Amino acid sequence: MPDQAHLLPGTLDLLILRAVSLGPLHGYGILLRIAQISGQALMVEQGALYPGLFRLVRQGLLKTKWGVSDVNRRAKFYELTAAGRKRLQDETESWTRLAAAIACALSAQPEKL
Amino acid sequence: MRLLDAMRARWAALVHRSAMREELEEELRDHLQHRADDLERSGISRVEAERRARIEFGGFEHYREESHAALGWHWAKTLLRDLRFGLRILKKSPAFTAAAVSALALGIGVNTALFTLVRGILMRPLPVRSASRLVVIWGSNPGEGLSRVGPSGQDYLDWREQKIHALEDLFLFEHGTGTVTGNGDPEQVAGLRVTTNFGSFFGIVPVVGRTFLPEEDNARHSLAILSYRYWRRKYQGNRAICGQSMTLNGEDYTIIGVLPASFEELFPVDVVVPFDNEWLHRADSDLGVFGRLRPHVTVRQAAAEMSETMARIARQRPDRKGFGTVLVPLESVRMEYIRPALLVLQCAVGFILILACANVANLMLSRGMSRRQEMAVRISLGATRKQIVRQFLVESSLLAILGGMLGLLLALGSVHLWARYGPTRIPVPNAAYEVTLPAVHLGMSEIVFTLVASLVTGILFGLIPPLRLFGGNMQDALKNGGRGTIGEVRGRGTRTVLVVVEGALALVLVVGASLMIKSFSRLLSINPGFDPNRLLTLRIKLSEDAAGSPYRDPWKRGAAFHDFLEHVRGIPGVQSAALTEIVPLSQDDMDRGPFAIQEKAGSNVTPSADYRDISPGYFQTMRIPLLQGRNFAESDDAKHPRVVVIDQTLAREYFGTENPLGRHVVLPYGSRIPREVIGVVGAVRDSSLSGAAEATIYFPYMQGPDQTMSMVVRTALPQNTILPEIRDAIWSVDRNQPVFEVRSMPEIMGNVTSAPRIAFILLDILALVALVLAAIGIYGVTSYNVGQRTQEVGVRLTFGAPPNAILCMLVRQATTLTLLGVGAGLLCGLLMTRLMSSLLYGVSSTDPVIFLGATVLVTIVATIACYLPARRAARVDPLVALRSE
Repeated sequence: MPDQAHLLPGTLDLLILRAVSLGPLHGYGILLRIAQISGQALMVEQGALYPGLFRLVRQGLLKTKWGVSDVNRRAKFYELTAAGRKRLQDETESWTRLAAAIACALSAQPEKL
Repeated sequence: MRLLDAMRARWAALVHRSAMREELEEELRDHLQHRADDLERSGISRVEAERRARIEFGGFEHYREESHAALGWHWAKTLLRDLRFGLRILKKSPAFTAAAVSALALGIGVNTALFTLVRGILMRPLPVRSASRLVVIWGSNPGEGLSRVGPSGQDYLDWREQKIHALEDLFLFEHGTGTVTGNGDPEQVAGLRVTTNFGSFFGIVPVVGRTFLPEEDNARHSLAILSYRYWRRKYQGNRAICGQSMTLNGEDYTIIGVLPASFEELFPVDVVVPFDNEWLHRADSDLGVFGRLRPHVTVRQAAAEMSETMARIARQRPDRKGFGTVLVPLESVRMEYIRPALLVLQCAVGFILILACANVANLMLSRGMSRRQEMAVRISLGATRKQIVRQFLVESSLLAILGGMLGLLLALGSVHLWARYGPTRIPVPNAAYEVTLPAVHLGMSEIVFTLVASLVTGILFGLIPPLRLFGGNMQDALKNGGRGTIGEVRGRGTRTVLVVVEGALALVLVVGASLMIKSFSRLLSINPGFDPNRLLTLRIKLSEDAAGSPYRDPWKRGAAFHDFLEHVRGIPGVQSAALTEIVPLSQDDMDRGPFAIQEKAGSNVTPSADYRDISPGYFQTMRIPLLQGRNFAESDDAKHPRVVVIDQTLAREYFGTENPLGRHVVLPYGSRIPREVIGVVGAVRDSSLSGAAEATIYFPYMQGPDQTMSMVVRTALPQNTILPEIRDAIWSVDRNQPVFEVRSMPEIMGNVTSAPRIAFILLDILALVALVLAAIGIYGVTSYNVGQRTQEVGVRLTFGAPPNAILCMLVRQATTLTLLGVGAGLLCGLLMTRLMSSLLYGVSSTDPVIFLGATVLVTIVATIACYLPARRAARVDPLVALRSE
């Protein structure tokens, strides 16, 4: 495995929402999708995914339905709800702002102060 | 939208708990399979792949648990755990649980019972259209001492003609009875004569048929509407009844409809017939008039307009001069008599609930203190405050719900007792009319009430201990291991308040109950002026209206009554029997009017008196003492000079010290024949026991026979033995003559004392309960306080303080608090007992003897409650005390 970044607390929800926003996925699929879209940089511990998923379902951000996976196994698929889409948008904006602010802070040069 | 989704998810989680659990398991298994598939593809064996997948997954059990929690039924599980823990704690201290549950059951039970009564009797709207806008309109004449008299037909017509703006509509009615023949035994039915707007006025939807049409206000139509009850009883609910005829007072009436069952609550009658419009002009007073207020018009506005109207009418008709009107909302007038009693009881049961809660809060507080260490340990192990508060709340709610369930049983029993022994009819004050009380029963809203009351009390006293606990520093609790240090007894302020409140409430209730005891014993010891024991009363109405009735001739009426009386007197077991127009205290009717004394002409005050037609033997049967002169004799009939007997009140008020015998009474209308006063009898309380006896003039019935008379029979035989014989005796004279309103005199007396009696019995029980609750509460607080000071007592004893001095000190300190409570109670009592004044007879609501007695009683009980635990503390072995924790 390549270098892995630590998952910041609170970012798992955002990653799940983003992964699912690209198309309905089952649990294992979400893990693979997160690894894929983060360039294999972010790996979620497999077990930790599920409490996060259920929390999002309970909050009404995800909805589920049973289907068949690409390897012909029965699996529960997760989809964004309208509220989930809205949340993803909000969270993405605030994350971008935060990331930009931190990047800016870290790149500050002493002579420019 | 989000909220809705979230709620749906939670709901689904709760409803499909086991299904979701399985789904979760399956999903996790799928995940492992998918991962194993991938690993297998990299070239390892299936078994090895599955093993690795499991390891990669991480703590399977841990994540499964966490997922469960995330699914949203975590809270239900914790609640269940708290409940189980709570139950275990409660089971561990059965004495505490029993004390708390029984106190709550009492508090909640009496409140539910009274809520049931108040809702069933006071709060239920009448089952008619816009019942809240209906008012009763009475005539009044303050000059003649008439506060509520039924208007006459002419009054009604006048009011209609004057077009009173505040009133949308007016309705006139008259209660009466009629004789139904030709359908089984002859029967006297309760009748109601109404104006033809009857149906629209009350918004009646008949069960069968129709109500009257406006143009049917003429006797030649002869139409009748039946009540539901009468229709079921007499016609077995036959729906094809319309068009059938019935014989009422010897005339044929056509039945056109049947009233709904609920209407009986307003008018408990059998048959309704319309007024003849022509007859209205001649109709005497004593009719009933209801008005319906226009929307948004107050009773006060309507009353003001009515008094202007009456002034206008008096200018046209001088004989109406001095007359005014009284308007009272129909819904309040019906329950006028019983409302004060129920409201006083409502206050009393509220107090009991507060007392019960105070006791339980105190118990919880004491236990909370002893559990301080447990709480401190739990907090240091990571329990949040929220969790601790929740635990306390669950425990107290458990107690409250247990108490509530027991209380519900108590309430059920009480309501059952009420249905059995409570009054069924109550009088309407000053109106010579009675109301049938609606039946009350415990329904869904009462159960909801109990549940809400339980939960609210549970939450209230459940919050006290944790709030007190968190007020202090938890580390201290851990350090001193719950050892009571002097001056560090937490929760003392709360306890002080509890003791003061308990003392005060107990005193108020004891004062109230003592006032009722004194008042009621006064009421029962009132001499009504006659001997009510072993008297049976019944009414007989001759059908003089009927065409061809022999009773159109007044002398035949007299003869018939004479025959009835002779036959009844002949029955073995009848000691004596007599006739009277009105039975005292029966609220049957009123007959009152002016009179003059011939020998005192020129006096400008018009005195008024109750008129009573009676038969010879009436005074002997009623055991009304003859004070002067002679009784009526059989010879005092139409052929002999007119005579009267007056009562003591009239003799005293109008003759003073003069001898009334031989003087003449003149009624200022009709024939104006002077009637000689031949006797004076004792005063009789006619309209109410507590009111003053009214001046009364007795006339011999043979000198002016009535249509309706009551027979009073003195007999030692039980009612159901003698009644058939009396009926047979009357039927042996006239086979078509019914008797009705058979009531024993004690029953009649019971109805006029029902409100004070209910208040008397219930308030006494409640005061006793309050006293016991307060004693237990004060005992509990003192025990706790003294227990906390065991070490201090030990120190004092070691240094040689005599046990008695310690006992004195402890009792003194404890009693100071109760005295504070008693003081507060006295103040409250002075304010609160004013509410009761309408229930009291012959005793002031601030009777000093009662207040003093109640204070002494409560103080003694409280001192005993303080003394017992203090004695135990003072007698302790000093060594044990010093070591005690």
